[in-house]
Amino acid sequence: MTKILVFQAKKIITMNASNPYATHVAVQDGRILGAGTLDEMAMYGAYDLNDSFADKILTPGFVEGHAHAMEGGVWDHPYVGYMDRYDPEGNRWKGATSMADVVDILSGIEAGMDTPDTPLFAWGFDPIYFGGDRMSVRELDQVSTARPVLVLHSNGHLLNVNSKVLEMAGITDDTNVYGVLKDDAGKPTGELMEMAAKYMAYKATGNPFFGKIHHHALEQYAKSATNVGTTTATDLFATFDEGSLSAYREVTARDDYALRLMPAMNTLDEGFEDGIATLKAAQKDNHDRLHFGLCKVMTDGSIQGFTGRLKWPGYHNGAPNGLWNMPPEQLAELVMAYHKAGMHLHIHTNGDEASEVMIDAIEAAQTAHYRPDHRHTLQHCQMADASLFRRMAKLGICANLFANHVYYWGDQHAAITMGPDRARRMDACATALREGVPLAIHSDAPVTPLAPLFTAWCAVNRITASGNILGPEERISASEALYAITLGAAYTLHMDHLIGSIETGKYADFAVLENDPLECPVDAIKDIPVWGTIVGGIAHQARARKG
Amino acid sequence: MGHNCGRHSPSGKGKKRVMATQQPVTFTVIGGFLGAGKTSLVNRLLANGGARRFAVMVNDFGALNIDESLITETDGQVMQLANGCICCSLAGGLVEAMINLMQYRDQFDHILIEASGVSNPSRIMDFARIDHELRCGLTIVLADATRLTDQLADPRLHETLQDQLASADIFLLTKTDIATKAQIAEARTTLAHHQPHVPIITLLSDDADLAQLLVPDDDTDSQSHHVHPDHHTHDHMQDFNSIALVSERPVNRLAFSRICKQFSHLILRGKGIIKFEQSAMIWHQTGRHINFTPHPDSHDRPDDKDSRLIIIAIEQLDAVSDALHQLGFTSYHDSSA
Ligand SMILES: [Zn+2]
Repeated sequence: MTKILVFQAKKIITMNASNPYATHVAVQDGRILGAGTLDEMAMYGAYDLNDSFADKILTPGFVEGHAHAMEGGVWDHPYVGYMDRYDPEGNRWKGATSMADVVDILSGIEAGMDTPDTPLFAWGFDPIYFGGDRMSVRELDQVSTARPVLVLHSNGHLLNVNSKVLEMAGITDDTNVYGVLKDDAGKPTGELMEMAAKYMAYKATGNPFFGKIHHHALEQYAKSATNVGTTTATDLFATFDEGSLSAYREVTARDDYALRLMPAMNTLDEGFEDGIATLKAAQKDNHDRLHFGLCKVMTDGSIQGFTGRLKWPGYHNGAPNGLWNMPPEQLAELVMAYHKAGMHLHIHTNGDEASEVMIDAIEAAQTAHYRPDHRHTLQHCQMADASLFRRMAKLGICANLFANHVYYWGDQHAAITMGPDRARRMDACATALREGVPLAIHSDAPVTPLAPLFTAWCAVNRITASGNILGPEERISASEALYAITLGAAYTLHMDHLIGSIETGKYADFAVLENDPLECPVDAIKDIPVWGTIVGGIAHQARARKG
Repeated sequence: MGHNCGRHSPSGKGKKRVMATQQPVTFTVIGGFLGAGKTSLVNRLLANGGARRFAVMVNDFGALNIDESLITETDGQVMQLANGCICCSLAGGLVEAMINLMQYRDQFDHILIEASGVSNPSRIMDFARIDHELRCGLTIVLADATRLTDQLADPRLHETLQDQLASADIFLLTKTDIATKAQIAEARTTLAHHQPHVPIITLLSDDADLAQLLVPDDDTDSQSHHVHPDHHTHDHMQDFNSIALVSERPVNRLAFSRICKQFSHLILRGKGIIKFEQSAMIWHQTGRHINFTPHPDSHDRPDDKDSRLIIIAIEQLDAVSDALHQLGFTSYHDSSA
């Protein structure tokens, strides 16, 4: 037993209903002994007092139930998204709000690259804000005609390249293949979509995002997490090859690794039986900072990419219905096999038809093999209506809603994808809670920024990028949102006995904040400065924000 | 329909081959509905592939009949087998898997892709349309005779399955051993209704010629292969009809192509040397997959003006035969008599 350490704070919000607020929390061996007054903490025995946070607010460390460790790795490459973002080192990347901005940013980076033919990869490009303007070789050739330049769109479907990449890939005026977009004169524009066209580009230039997860990405992921008060995060789509598994093991084995990591195995990588065996084998290496056990299932695509599967009447603009990632029947077989084996499923569903299919599958699995506490979770579950939430509640299915979407693409959803009515129920946090569905909210970083306080702000305010309030009836209170980013998310991960609240026996994981999220104006929640985190009783300071 | 593999067509502008010395790899896509038997077809092709060096990509390795003791080397997602075949995992997606696989490009001549039950085989065949190291093989779409009609009626699958049917060069109707006669008839009607120009074959048990039909070897060595009407690869395949024709006059290319398309639902296998007015071509066809490549010998032997072809079909070939006779062809045995 190590010596007891008592942290003093201005206020500790514990999320423990029987002991909601405290000023002191006692920690021993990385775990919480208790929370209360200093006098109460003294009753545990001799202690060292840490009063460096005496003017700060402590909450349970935030839990990000749906993000990707790639959030750590993408920052090795330039960001050209529309909104400002901070990288794991705290540097601000100014948003590219015009095509010219993108060219400027990339030209600056290109000028600083010393090897002449290393490809320049940029990511996060989101021309949905540019009112129909499309990028082409014209812009990217201004960056360089000698170096391959590739710009990945934030929707993941499209890729823009410069003429150097077209040349290397052998894509010419004569290439008549679906997905190679051309201008009126029959010349490839450099915009590539669908697998074959992107294959040709990556075959020529490589793709830094292919392959196993790297140590560096995991290290940077923890920094990103610390910067925003997150102490547990998923890597919600992981290939469990030996390279990736050993990276998870080695990085989290370090005592100073500031994150509890929960990789979710991609269930489509192997047959059901092999997948279950792979996961069970991986779980043998679980420890305090590494928790294998989650299984990811991809069901449909995305709403803004028009690939989410929708129920009638489908897309507001008349786009055809989206794409299944696997036949519904096979998805149901997968759910049955994993459910029967006692596994914990995290199921990506965007459209309401996808959610319905997976609710049906879980109902069938529960009927055949009843499990009282499976905690299968629909991830995103963006378009579920009240009737689907009622079924989820009955079946014990959790929802992890994509609250950030309301801000980032809410305007486009109201105007283009869903129409004004259904857009109001996107990521319907209030309905989920009203119908009794266990609720978490998420960022899906790096799709949107990892920042639970921002995610909470989205759920509380439902303000879109243009400043509209989208579906005010679906707003939830600040305390409900704080619950969703702590204990609510912990529940969906089946970790609520270990994390998510400040109470005896749990890991000593705290977010250290400069302001009280329950007392500040609700529109200021996202702006609360984060000092850093405490993970297992060890303090980690956020990198200073620069730029 | 864009079923011709355009860039191999001699009318297309000549393009730089990335590796001029190497024959392109034949790229075959096996698509179709869940449970239609795609994996077992892959297994059968592997078992009956003869000298073909296959690289296969499947969704579920476990479903392949691969004896663990056969695995000689595993490098990440790529597994090399003692029989010369390579298996590649689709983990991480087709794009990444194909890039990995093509690093072993000199170790195989055929790629077999088992498409997932929801993918559009056309979008996969695009890999062969864009990559000069690949050539289009067949897009084979399997349909389960016992379930086809129900599956098509499912609104959740309807568009997906329609895309699959539309991409087929040839249909393989499976489960005909357990389907009722009525189911088989209904399935045939449904397929013919959706895609009247695609031939429908049923999977025969123990058909060793399956590989030769679906993954023809002679496509790959057409440069040196001399097509001759006597070369009846499928003579002994039952339930098939064949014709052999010759023509001493130059053949009208447009009219010939029109016949290829018009009767694509009958033509299980067609091949020949066709002396068009402009140039001599080697012609290969399986259903909607039509391929012309320049005939290498046409300059060496300008005196040999004869066009020769054979066609193997599921049904009576009278109509095709009549159409070709009108183009100037005569029956091989007639003319040589
Ligand atoms: Zn995600």
